[in-house]
Amino acid sequence: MAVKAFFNPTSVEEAVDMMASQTGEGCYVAGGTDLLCEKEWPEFVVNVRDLLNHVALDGDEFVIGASATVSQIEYWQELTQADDGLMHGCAKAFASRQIRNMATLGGNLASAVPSADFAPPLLVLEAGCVVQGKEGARALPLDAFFSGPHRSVLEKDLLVEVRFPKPAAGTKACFLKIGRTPGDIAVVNVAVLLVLEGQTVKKARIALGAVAPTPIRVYQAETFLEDKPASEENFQQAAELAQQAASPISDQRGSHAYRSQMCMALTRRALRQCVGRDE
Amino acid sequence: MKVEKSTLKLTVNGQQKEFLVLANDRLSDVLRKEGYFGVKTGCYTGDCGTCTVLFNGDPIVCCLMLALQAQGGAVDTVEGMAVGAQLHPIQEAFLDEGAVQCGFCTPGMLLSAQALIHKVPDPSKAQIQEALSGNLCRCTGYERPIRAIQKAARRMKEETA
Repeated sequence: MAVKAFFNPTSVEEAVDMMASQTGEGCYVAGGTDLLCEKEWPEFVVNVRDLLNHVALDGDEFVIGASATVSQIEYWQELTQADDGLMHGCAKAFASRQIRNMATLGGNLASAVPSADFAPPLLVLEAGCVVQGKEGARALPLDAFFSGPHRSVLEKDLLVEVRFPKPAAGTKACFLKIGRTPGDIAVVNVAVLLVLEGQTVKKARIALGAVAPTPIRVYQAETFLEDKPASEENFQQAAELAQQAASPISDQRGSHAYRSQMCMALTRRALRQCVGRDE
Repeated sequence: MKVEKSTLKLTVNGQQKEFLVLANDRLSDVLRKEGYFGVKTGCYTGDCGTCTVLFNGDPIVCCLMLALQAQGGAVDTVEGMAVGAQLHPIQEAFLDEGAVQCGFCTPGMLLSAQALIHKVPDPSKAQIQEALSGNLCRCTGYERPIRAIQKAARRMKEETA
């Protein structure tokens, strides 16, 4: 299939109208780094590349437009200082310079692949999404955004932006990824966010990617850690809970057994890095 | 849906251009068709980096951009680096260091290097490695290009000092 029509909307409302009013298979396109790698292209595309590339700190909330590139996130110092380098670290582990200059946050989420690198960091930051549909805009937690491999709540709607609260001062956070090469998609990825009071974990957020039909928050491990000492034993047990929450598949990048082991190893490593104990 | 060509307005290497393109055309194919043969197409999946151009100053792999998405933008290809017979300092340094073997990856590497030096006039080896991480070379490897880029950065700094 070839792209027969190219639409260039000037507002989100217009973009959604174009998507809804055309017949045939259509797709929003921004960075193009996922869509143009597909063997089958849609009949029409609605270009949102230059429509939604805003990034801002809005009061106590960070706002990232869906068409903001990975490079924009990588170079956003205000964000890097506030989230302990979590999103910056994710951007740095994301493909090549050229791809980072093209690929967008919205595309990474809207493609809804289980390995989407930005999903775990945004899940631990407790991000919400703003989605534009024909009936207007609505907000929902990112946790409710993914519904399966390559499936999200979007259908014909447009992901407009992602918002998350500015982390409390002193928040520790870490993103880790295992891939065959830095440019390849993740075999397992994990994000951890900790708020400590002395040696006690007051708040824990843990999310994993590429080990379940969607990226997942590991609530069991979070609850287990909270109000407990940041000890090796507790980190080990939380990592094992993360491993139990995962249901990885076997594919050409890694087997079920390998991914399962790596869930544990990577979660433990991320927890240790958060408290400055590098492995 | 009727299939017709649209006009794509681009600034290529500083010159205003207009091309007739299909909605289905990749920017890389349009540039090659218009004679910018420095834009190679290797993989069409964004992995090899040989179609690297600067789009509004930033290196991108233009095989993954629909041509019409570039509407109104500025594209720099390797053809715009030399001024007449005078090679760009990065090109000179690639020759000096023997950083070219088959040459297929070279235009992309030169443009990645140009964007890096523009942003970081005195790049470290690690910064150069990161800047070249999306440009695959299957002949000489990366040591000579890295040395060339370091040399070019030093020369360009001296020239502007």
